[in-house]
Amino acid sequence: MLASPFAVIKKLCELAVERKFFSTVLFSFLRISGGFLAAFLLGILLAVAASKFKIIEYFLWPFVTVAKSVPVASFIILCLIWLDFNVLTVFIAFLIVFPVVYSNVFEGIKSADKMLCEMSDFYNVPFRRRLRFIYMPSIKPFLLSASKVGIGMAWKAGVAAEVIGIVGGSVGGRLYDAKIYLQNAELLAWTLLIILISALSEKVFLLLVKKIFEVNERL
Amino acid sequence: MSRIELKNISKKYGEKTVLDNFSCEIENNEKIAIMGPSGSGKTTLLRIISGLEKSDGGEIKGVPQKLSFVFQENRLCEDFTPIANIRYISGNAFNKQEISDCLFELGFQEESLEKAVKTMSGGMKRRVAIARAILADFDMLIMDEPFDGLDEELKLSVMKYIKNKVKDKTLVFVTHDPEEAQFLADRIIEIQN
Repeated sequence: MLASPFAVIKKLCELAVERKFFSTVLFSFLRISGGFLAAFLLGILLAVAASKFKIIEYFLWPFVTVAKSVPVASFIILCLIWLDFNVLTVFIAFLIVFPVVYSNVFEGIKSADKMLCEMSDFYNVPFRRRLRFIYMPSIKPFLLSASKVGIGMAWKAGVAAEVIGIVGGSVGGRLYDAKIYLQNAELLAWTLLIILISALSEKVFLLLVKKIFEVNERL
Repeated sequence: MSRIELKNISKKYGEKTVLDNFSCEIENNEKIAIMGPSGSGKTTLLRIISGLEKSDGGEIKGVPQKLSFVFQENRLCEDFTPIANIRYISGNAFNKQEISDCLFELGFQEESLEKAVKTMSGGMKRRVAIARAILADFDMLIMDEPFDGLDEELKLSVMKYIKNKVKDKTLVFVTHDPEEAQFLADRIIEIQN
């Protein structure tokens, strides 16, 4: 039996007043966001490096291709063997988001206006200045799109890792418990909460990224 | 600085010959207008002189190291202000006031200096592109149809500004307009198809 929306919201309110609710949410939030942020920063950094040095592009290509196509469950099970459950969520979120950010930023740099690049070559404009004036505007739509997709994927994969790894004190762990005890309303309440946090993180993060681009344009 | 010599310059794109044994000499500080019908290789010639393209045959000698170029397209960083676009090339060689003064001379108002280039009209963008080229450190200025998109009144003031700024420099530019050529150039080179 599927719980009614009213029952789900009621359950969510009950969960919210539980003593361990915020620590549970914070536990997952910090790990998933940590994995996402690490992937976001490293993805940008390595995409910029790969656009400048072909060897980095070739070196990363197999890893990015594998990370894009291997099912997330396979990664989680493999990581359960090697990693501590505290690191599991961070690593899985990182692994899922990194290829998205890297590929998008790399594509953004490649799509930079060729005429502007030729003009920059003509005047010997230093790379740092090109990065700010040509590459940042050109990666902007790609990075915003990667952020949108990436945050949702980080939450999906991160919570999946917590469920499969039965990580205690996490949102995924609570989802697992709800499944075991057939607590339909609780399962949907945690799911609803994940959707809300994911959507809110997306909005806040996109605002932040847009602000960074705005500041760059005004400097 | 020595004179620029172009000897038997040839360029083909696929089967199409754009330049066929073109030769000319440009004296130091001379102002040259290149005229000719569309597709006669004027832009290609500028690109070869500036080193942006290699010729298939022939020889070029004496091109100065410091060049500046007003491209046929504006090639501006659209999200940035005119001042930022100029600084993109000239770095910190000029302060904000010096750049603003240059833009004022080209007909800009104070309030437009804070706007992103993407919000500007074609004529304003063209003038930013010209200011950027003029404020670069150069011995020779190359311009490809620099006054396209400017109305007659503005065109005259921009031409006067350029004439003043390239007094002791070499100028090579492409134009379709004989009046522009006569105003700025010491000599006109006609290229035939």
